[in-house]
Amino acid sequence: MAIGIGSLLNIGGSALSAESTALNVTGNNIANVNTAGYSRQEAVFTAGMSVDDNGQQLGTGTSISQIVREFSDYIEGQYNDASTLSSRYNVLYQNLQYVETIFAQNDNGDMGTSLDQFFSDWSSMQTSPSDPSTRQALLNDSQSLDSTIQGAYSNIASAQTSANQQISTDVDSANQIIQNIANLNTQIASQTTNTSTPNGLLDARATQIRDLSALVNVNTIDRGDGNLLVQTSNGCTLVDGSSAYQLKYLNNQVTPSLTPGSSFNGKIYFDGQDSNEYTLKVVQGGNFSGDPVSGAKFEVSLDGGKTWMTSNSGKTEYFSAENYGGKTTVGNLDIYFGQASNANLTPTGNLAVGDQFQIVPKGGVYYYQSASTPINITPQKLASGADDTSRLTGGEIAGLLSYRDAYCGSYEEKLDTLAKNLIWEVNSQHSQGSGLENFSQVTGTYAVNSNGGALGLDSTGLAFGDKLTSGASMMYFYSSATGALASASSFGMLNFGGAGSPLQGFDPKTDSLTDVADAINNTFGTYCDATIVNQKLQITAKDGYNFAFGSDSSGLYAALGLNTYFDGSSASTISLNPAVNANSDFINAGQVDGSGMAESGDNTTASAIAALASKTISLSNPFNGTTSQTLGGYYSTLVSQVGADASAANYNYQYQSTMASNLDSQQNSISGVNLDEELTNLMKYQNSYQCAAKLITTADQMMQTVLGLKQ
Amino acid sequence: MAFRITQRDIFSTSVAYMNSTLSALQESNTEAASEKRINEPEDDPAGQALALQLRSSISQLGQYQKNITTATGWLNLADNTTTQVSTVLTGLKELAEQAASGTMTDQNRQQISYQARQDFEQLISLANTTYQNQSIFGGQKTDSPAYAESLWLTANDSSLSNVSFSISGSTSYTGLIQFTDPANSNGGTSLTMGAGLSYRYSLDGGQTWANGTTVSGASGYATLNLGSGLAVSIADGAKVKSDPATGSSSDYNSTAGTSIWVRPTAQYLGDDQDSVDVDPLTAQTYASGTKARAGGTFTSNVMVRIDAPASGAGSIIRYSYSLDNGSTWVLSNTSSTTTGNTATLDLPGGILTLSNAGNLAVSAGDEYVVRPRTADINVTISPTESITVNGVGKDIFGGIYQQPGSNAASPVTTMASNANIFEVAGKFIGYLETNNTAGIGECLADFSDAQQQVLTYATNVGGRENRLTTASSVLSNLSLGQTQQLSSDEDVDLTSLLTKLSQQQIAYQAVLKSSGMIMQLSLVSYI
Repeated sequence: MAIGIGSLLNIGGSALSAESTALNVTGNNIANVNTAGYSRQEAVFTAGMSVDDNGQQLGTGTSISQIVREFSDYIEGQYNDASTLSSRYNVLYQNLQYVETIFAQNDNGDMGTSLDQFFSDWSSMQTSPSDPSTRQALLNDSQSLDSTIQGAYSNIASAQTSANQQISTDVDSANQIIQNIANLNTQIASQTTNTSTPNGLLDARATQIRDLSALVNVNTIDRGDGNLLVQTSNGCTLVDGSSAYQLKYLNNQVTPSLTPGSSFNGKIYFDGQDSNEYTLKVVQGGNFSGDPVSGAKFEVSLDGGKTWMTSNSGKTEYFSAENYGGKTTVGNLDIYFGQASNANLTPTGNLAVGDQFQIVPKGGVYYYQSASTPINITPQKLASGADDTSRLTGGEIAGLLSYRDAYCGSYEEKLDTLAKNLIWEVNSQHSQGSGLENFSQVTGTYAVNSNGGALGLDSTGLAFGDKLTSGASMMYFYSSATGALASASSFGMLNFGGAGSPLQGFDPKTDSLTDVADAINNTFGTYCDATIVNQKLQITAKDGYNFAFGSDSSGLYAALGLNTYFDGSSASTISLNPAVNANSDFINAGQVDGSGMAESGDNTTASAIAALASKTISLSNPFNGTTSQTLGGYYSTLVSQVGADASAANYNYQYQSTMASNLDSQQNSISGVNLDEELTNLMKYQNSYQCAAKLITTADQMMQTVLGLKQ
Repeated sequence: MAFRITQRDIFSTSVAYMNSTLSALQESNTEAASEKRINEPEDDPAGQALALQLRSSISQLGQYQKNITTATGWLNLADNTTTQVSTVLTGLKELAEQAASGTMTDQNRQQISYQARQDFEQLISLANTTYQNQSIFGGQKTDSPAYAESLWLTANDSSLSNVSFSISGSTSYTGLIQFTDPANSNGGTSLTMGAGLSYRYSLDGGQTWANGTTVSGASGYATLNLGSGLAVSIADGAKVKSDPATGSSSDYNSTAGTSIWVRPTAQYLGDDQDSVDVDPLTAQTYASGTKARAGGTFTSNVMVRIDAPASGAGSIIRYSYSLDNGSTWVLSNTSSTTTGNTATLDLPGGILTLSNAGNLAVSAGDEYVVRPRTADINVTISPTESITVNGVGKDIFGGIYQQPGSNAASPVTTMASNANIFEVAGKFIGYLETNNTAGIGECLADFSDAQQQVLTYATNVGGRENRLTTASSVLSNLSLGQTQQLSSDEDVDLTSLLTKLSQQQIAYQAVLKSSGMIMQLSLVSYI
């Protein structure tokens, strides 16, 4: 049969088209040698089927059966796992380097030097307590200490704000990528056939998954045919085939989780911001009156319910659930309960034991599966220091969130602890001393929420209320004309027992601001008037008298801001008492001694404050526990913590990025283009093409020969 | 190692190697520029914390050195001043020796008295020495002079020794008063102070006399006017004797009648540390009615808090105390067993005694504050030591002093009356200006005691100066040691750094060369 020339032509033709396809593929590889995300393709030749020719099997040429994309999904998965962590630690390390510069040791502006200079100035006051220039130097150095502390805190706070903006942008990018992947899945599904795979689309999808991994940690499961499932490592499905789900970045979310028997139908509200998540669990059911028996009480956890907040003595602390008027201070938040529609009204239902509330007083990343159930996947560090694996743990978003919360949040808390203890220790000594001038009027600098609330309770809202103890406080009244004590009964302890009663001291569990004003009026009403203005205590001496403060074992003066040196109660609010700032005579270097007078050469208070530089203080904050250190030691521990964190982030980054680049190398060695190899292939296919063309020429000549047979 | 090398790989790894060697080089560069090993906290977190602590400690030591320098200034000045006081006293003693001798005439003594007055003024001005505008002998009242010149009475009649009196006005020469009532119905020559007594006085050492009669002064006092505004008020009822024979020209040094010298003294205006009060004072009482007193040497306030209720004889009182104004408390102390409605509580520096007119009872939470009078200015010179830089003038130089809360001054009793420098010098001037050789002889012996008093204080000052010298050298050793420690912690070792730098430079050059070589090779150049 005439298999001969015609089939030769066919064979040649098939060879030509196959070789030219192969050349195209090689050319494509060469052209895309520098394209990111391109996987090289290889044409696979198959021999044509054989046909029967006079009892012999003859082949029918060749064809390209498929164009294979060289790519390893397995290595790609490992790479993404490493790259997501590398990305997380990279962004963490870069941001921590910025925080390091805030605490950098330079010769003038750093906090350690300011603190040393502050105590040094108090020590200089010992030798010249009444010298105005020494006092002025102290005021100047105190102001620069205040602004250094405030500056460090606000720098960290603004770093957090810019991290928030970046997180928001990243979440938007992630959502965009998720949508892209879903679209690509649809296209891939529609273009995949038995014989051809949409290589370009697969490359595009792999690139998108790499980009997504850089943002969040994901796992992928390819069920074939474009049906790719992309999930975060903690199980939230982001893409399922052609369906895309969303991540959202939301602020200040509250999630209640009430027991079936609870009649609570209001909402929980809070003021303030914190980097921790608060989990509240009701331990005593009841109403919102604050009554010890009928009022509801709750305990608070900062790590999702694994450990509960304790008071300074180590016992679990119970807070009282209050309405708007009696906001309870818990950590950095003021928490209260109100009706669902109106925060200022008391809720009508009661809380039951076991009711829980999750408060996220910051921006967090949430996963939306359906429109009404956002799942909180914001990264969280457990009290043991490990990552909570039910939340995001990798990618830039996790890096930024852990930077903002676990790192910056922790530094802010430590700065707050440092400031608060500095303020309290200095004020505690200073408020018991006496300066160069006596007072004719003094107003406290700390306010309460309610004049009638006992000063030691959280709900009264006094900033240093937890430092108050029972004790006795002395005041001295002098005649303005002579400068001597006005009379033998113009000084003594404040009597909280009521007019005419025997002497009774201050009790923070029962005495309120009103009681303090009454005690002053009952004991020293002849010489002064004590009133409450703007929920702060104000004492005004009557005509012809002035007064000074003396020893106070209860801490009452320091807590109310009377005769104190510092004002404010946190790193962002630390400042000088306006009275001291305006008149350096009110800096207390001495104290009233046994003769009832405070002399200008008395330096007892200055010595006591200077001694605070080397005094070991118990410093505690809710998340980091209690340590006993000097103030300077606490600061240097904070700096070394920043350094250790940065160093650890750097180490992790180096480790993960080395792993990632090794895996990338391996992937490249499979899917990258080697120009030498492609050039070789080019020559190979070119030769084959020339030979195949020769076949056609030969067949054509044979045809001419045959045609020439008949003349 | 990968099996296939691709172009992507070649270029990306070359870039990675160049970056890593260059960044190591850059880091060494930073170390060389700052000469510190720790440029950021992450370079060595623990080392950074140590460096911060050491810096802080070195700065504290520097402050202590400054304090020591200032304290040395105070004490050197006190040292010099007491030496000068001693010299002045020696001069006065010599004057006294001369004046006591019988060969001196009244005029001679008058000439000596001018010198003595000058010496007295100088003693006062020495006692008012200031350092940086602060009185060094005024206790804590450093903003005003420690002493002011004043007048006092000396009498040769012991029945006047505890009588209260006051002097108003001034005089530049000792005044001498003698009573001249003739024998009267009150009992011979013994008189009771009141209005209507006759006396004579002289303001020029007995050369001229004037007469006067006492008048009624402020309630309970009789006033003797001595002209030119000078007046002496003596409490009614004081017993004086008159010597009628003195009426004309008899010896005004006679001891038959009472003579009163109005002579100079110095009044101490500064601070004292003589007593300890305990709050609540008498105006306030706890429900139990228990009162407290304290005795001992307390340097600052001590707060005492009763921890558990107790009542009745045989009970033990549990208490805590605080020495730092309530910041830290020493717990679990027990008192003595209550007997006779009294219990004593032991405190650092002294004891607190609780007592009650009836049954001794205390409630938990009762608080007592021991409030001593303080006059020392203490300056911290090391983490554990402080030193007193000033002195309480009245305990050194004597004079007269009005205790806070009392309405009249009295001679200082911290030292024996014949070591009270100003009183002795004042009496000397009084006797000198009135030619009373017996009195001058008394003062001669007293001057030795007075000088001893000053020299004892000078030793005290010297001891403190020695402490300062020791403290200063200890501090400078400590400071040196810590500076060395800081340097070894954070400074870079220049030799090893330079070696490292050249190694890294070579590494970088090697990477550049090899990368450049590899990147140029390609099949294209051969076909």
